Amino acid sequence: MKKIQYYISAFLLVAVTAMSLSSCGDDKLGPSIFPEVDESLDPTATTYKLDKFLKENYLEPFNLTFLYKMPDISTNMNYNLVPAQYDKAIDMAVTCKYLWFDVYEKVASKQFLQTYGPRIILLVGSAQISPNYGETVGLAEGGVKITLFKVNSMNPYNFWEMNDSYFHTMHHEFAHVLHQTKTYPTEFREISAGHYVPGEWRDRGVEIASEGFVTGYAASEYNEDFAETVACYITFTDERWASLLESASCGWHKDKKGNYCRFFYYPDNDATKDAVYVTQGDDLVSTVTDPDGTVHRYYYNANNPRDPFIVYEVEDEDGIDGKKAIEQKVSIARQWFHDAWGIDLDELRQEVRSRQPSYNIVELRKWVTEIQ
Amino acid sequence: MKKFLNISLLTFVALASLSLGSCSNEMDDIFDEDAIIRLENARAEYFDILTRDGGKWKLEYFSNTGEPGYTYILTFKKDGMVTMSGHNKWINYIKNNSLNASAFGSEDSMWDLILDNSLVLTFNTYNKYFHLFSTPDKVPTGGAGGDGIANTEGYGHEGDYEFNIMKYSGDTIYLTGKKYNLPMFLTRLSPSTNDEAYLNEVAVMNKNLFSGTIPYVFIVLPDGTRWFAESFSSCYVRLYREGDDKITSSEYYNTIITHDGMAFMNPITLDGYTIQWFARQSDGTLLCVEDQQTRIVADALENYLFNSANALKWKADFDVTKSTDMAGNYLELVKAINVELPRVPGEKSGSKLKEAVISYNDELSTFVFNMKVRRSASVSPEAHFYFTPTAVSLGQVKFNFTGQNDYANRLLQGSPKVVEFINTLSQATFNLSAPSMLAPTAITMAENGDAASYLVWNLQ
Repeated sequence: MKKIQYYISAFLLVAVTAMSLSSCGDDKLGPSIFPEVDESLDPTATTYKLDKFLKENYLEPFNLTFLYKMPDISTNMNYNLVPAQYDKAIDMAVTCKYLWFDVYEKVASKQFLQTYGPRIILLVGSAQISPNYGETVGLAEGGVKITLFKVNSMNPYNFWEMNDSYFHTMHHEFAHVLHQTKTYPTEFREISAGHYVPGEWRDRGVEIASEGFVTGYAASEYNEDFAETVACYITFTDERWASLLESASCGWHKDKKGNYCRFFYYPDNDATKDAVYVTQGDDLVSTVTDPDGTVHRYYYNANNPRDPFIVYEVEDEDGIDGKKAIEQKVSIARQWFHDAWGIDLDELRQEVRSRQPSYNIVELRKWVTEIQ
Repeated sequence: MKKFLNISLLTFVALASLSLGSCSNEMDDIFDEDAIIRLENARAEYFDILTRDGGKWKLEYFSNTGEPGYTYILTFKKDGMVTMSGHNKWINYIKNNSLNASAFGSEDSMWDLILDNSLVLTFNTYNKYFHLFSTPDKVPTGGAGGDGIANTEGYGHEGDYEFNIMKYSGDTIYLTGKKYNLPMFLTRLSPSTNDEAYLNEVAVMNKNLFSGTIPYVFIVLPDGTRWFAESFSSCYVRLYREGDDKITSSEYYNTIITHDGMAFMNPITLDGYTIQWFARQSDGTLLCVEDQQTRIVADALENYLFNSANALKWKADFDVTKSTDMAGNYLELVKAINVELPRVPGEKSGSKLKEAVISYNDELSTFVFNMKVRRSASVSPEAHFYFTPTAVSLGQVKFNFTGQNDYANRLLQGSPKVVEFINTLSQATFNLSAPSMLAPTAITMAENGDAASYLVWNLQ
């Protein structure tokens, strides 16, 4: 009996399967439903030169779409954003090539960028502003897309503003793209574990360095810490990096006005009186260095210039060796760049900084304007 | 066993039927072509529509539901460029850092038709005179302390710059903003249209069509029902039916001043009548384009001139050397009073009439004809003549004087011509008229039977 049931069931199964399969037999793929797209550029178009530059320098070598005509759908629709100005898009396109793609191509390789570089760079004219959380100036998504905001605000003639607001952002976001592809060692996260302040970093000042962070934003969370550490290390000048490490070695006091002070003195050099805190750049602090290198600081007393007040350094009470922490982070990033990507971070840094002094937007624009 | 075979057979038949069903012919296509082809065709069609015949269009643009609409002129070019011209206070802020006036601005940027959820018209590079409505920066307030309206950072005006194309009909393209879904219109203009001249005319319309000092006008529906309309001049109008409670019945709508009149952002329905577009008529009133019956008109002029509810003040300038606010009998009487005034006890040799003001005195619950005398640069005593206005018929009024203050008494006793002036006012019947029957900020009060004798009252 069971045998009969088995045969009937098997027969039914085979029959139905055969009929089902037979219904799919004759299908053949027809022509594409999508119309053929003419990807050649129109030499009479107003945007021809920029489009050609982008095609030859981003699309063809790196399969990268450089979106300067903003499709709103490519952004987070919860934000109000505006497109980039056309002339600012030109500036950003040539700058990205000079200080970002050409650097990585030289220090790493073209193949590195072809393999790991972003697939889309999107320019947005305005910042992405969250009323409660501030503004976003750059965004890296999924290891393939980088959005650069505030393009309309860029002043390409002010190198330092460009360095802080845009070059820094490029390298910051590319660091995100890289770690989104290959993660960095978890030891990095442990260096400042317990000291990240996601909601409060905006309220922090220069004293954040003494806690081991290169910027306030780095203190928001470890991935941002990593990207900020890499970006600052690459784009800061020697003087600025040294100043950062010095700040990281100090103690800081926040005065009633919200200024962060490294020094204080006692009025009339009377330690029983309330200490008066002075900011780092206070003009009234004079410095005397002994032959043995010992530094003495004095507060220039305008009422009694012959009797200056001795200036003391604020004690570093946070229990963190900020300089050591930053150097540890750089060391991990340096090793990770080497191991994961075969890139010498210091060579990368050197290449960026060798280009910075010769940055000349007028000359760079000719890459586009002189296209025939 | 038999039961099992029956079940197996039924199962076989059912499954076989289903399997065979999958072999049936495909259903006929509803559309002739694939969706992508149809979208591409639509793109090509709208590209042609937008760029042909000079490619010049007016855009009636709304950034949000709490702000007026703004007219822009767009000139679409086949190379992807578009010239965007506007004339509004936000452009003036960009140019002159002030919101107290309107200014013209025009700039080229780029446009495209993209296939997004549907066919989308996008202005995809920054145009400072247009994308100002989409920037997340704070909405500026202008003037002192003008660091922007609080709580608008990150939002700005919330205006769209990408638009879903809904349909094309009668040289009008119907759009909706893609992010905020507000309806807008592109209407073709003649290629010879001068952007600045056209937009200047819109600006003049904007300045003159409604008055911010006239407290209300009426929307009069075809059946005669009247709806109070307040704040039309701000383009954010408050509507409530006459006789209904203002507080609980009011609804608010934003509007746009157009080249030819005014329009609501959306069609609105009042008592079953749907209205949206209004065209300005020669008398200054507005006539509904759709039904050719609904009108927007001012109230009877006497209800503004003698208005106890809204504390309106109307002034006539009595400076005989330059005023055009008086003529005929009244000009002669004022001149004669000026001759008599220096002889009135307490007056000085330079005393003369300065102006007259009609207003309502809440404390005394009476209307006041306030005749001001300029005694010196800093002293202008006021003679108050109390009166009750009477509407003889529509647009026709009389004054019934009921008393006066001490200074007015002194003038009446010292100047026979003042007595004659007041008597003339109280004996005459006056016809009221205004150049604009929608913004009657200047009302002429002419003697019935002697139109050359009049006073002109200007709303303060």
